[in-house]
Amino acid sequence: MGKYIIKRILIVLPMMLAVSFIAFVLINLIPAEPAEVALRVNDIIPTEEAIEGMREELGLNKPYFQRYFDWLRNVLRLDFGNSYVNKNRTVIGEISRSLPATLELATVSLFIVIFVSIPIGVLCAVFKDSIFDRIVRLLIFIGTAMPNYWIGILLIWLFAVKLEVLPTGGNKEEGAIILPAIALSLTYISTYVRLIRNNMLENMTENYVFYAKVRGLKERKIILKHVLRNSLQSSITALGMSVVQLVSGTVVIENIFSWPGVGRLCISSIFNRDYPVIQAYILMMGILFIFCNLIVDIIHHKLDPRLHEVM
Amino acid sequence: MHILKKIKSDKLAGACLFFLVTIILLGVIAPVVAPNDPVETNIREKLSGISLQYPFGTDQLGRCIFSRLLYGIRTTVLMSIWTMLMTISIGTILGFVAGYFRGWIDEIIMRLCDVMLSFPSEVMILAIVGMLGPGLGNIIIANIIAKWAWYTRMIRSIVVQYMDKNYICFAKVVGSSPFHIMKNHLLPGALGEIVVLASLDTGAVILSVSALSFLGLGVQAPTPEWGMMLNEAKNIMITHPTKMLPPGIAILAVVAAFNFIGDKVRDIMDPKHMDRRVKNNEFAESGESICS
Repeated sequence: MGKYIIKRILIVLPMMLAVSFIAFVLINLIPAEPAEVALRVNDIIPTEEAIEGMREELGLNKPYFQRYFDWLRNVLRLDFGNSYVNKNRTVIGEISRSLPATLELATVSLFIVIFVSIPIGVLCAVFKDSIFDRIVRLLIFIGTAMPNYWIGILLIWLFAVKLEVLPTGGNKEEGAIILPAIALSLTYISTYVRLIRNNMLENMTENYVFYAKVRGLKERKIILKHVLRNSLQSSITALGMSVVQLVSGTVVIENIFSWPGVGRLCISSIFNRDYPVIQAYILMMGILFIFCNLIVDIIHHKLDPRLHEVM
Repeated sequence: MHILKKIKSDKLAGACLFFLVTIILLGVIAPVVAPNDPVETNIREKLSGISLQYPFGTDQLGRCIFSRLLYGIRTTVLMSIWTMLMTISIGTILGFVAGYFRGWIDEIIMRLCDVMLSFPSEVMILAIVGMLGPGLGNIIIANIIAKWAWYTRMIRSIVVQYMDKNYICFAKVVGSSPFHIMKNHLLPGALGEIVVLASLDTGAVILSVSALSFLGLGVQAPTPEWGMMLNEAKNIMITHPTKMLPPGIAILAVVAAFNFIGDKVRDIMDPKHMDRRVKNNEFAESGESICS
């Protein structure tokens, strides 16, 4: 058990190194000369000397690997340099300013996903092939095929323009989080209802359920205590993955609802060719992904005693 | 192709298949069937309603929405299918090489996959688009780079299973060339499962491509694309909310049809088997065989 966790944590180190290397390499593969870009976004005419000076300033004239290690050393101190667009703003400042909004949105959405999909998934499995199950399945099917940005703008139109009960965007006004959180969670709800329903149904055919029935246990107890517990275990992996997906999925939703989070920052950086910000975003998401995987694996391992013997 | 036959025998799946084939054909012959030029602006006719000349009305610049939808098939649907084909081809080639030869080449390809898969694919796509800059071609490249590793790994696992089969071992013993074995013995068996992988994910590729275009990272104006049409419709939603419907419904219908067929294909090809493999990410490498 402890051995597994240590082993699992040790794998994280090379993975983080790989992620940081990709984040570094990707940005250094850009077809444009970074020094020139850095000059252009500040409306300085990129003359030979200016480019040379900027190369010096950005450390671009050093060998490749040295630059990577220099960069890595700075990153470990959370120093991502300054934004190209806004010279006097640090990248880490930009990110930490917009991160709370994204985390807020993702957390609210995650709760919506959990509290909506578990009961619906269970009900669908229990009343399999009833009218309720059929309607939910149809809605799920539409939900997975519907682009979430379309859902987003339809929600804006209905609640903000037509009914005028909720704000169209931003995060200043009261209730502003409701629409983006719903738009963000709908796609995931579709996925999880389906996942939980199928897991429940699969578990219901297992022998231990049959045995519990033979023992004369109440149907409700079997479902809640045995089937649901087993089904949720296998859903945890998917749910853990979805944390990252929710955070990266906010990119589209944040742009529709003008939610001032990292997703919006990332898109505007792409348009402005603000490479240090993009780089920091990539690195941050990669590391988040690694840690979510780690936590999910450990929880999964703790919950499922069957895995203990294997290791 | 027994998969195709089974799909046809299922009424709904058959209808979906028919619908998709029609859409693809409409996209190919768009210049013939489109009533108007999709990029020709006509300010006098802007935001007009449904009429004979403009079956779905016109947008904020007076362009025919119906014609834009038809031409949009080319950018949205055909490009997504093309992306999928490219990704799956790369995955098949690398997966076959890794699964067939094993050893160091397998090790290298798999470690490369591990590194690529250490990013969520959405972030990878954004990173590559961020690096290359906006544009349809760049979106496609980004989608391919972000997804090939997953397919390589899946297809390798399929190949590994076949490598234990006796007929492959016999083929090796009689001295067939690796290429011959891959082409004549491995590919026919594995093709079915590769088709499943591809059909399950095409809808997702369409959503991804159109979402990036919606954000303005993909197709550049005035080329018609469904996601971008939605973005344009968003700006006039207060005065003309109905303009949001045609492109949205188009995406919904096509993605739904792809998903439905994907599900059906998976059901046809032993569902439990496939699911478990996807979930556990671990594959049958054991098992007695005359090779080992």
